[in-house]
Amino acid sequence: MSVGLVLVTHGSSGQSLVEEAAFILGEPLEGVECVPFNHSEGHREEMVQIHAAIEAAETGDGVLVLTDLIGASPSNRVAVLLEHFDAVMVTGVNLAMLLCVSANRGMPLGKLTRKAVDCGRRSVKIFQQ
Amino acid sequence: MIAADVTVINKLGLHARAATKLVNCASVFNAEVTLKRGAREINAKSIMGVLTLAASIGTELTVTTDGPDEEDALGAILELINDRFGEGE
Repeated sequence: MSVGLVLVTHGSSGQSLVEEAAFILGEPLEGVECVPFNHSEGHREEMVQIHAAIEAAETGDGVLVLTDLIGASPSNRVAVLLEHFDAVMVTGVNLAMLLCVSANRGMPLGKLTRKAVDCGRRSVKIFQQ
Repeated sequence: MIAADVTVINKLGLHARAATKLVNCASVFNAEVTLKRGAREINAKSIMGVLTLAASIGTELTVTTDGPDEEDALGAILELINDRFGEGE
């Protein structure tokens, strides 16, 4: 079992996160698709790209879609497409969330989704002298 | 269950790649492996757990292992930390 993974983000930050996660984990992340939003594509083209990315990531075990900003275009486009797939979206992607997801790809989609949210939240801390 | 204290001695501390090495090392064993920093205790097989220790050089940790291969697990974790995660400094 390996849940498919898609990152839909403003600019190429999703691809950068994937590259850093691979560096930290010491191995490439398999079955990951990235869709960058660069403000030059039209609505239809963006929808087509996200649809294609989710399709490409689907292996039969579901797809986890990670987006950066809740309420923004990448998240809103994904939300509309979710009904066509066995897919879940989690907003607020960060490197900690991606590391956790990458290290636990064998989990079922529901459990992996909860793991992603938990790791993403736990990584936000206040440090002060 | 056995435990030992250890100090992080590599220059960069328990940073992301070092944390990955530690998690991979702990995950080889059946024993439960925990790291404790002060009152905070985490599962050493969890990348987020290890990272949230935010352990820089000089940080004192307590490694606890519990299970059939607890001695091997404790030895491996201590060796990894004392070997500076293979970083040389």
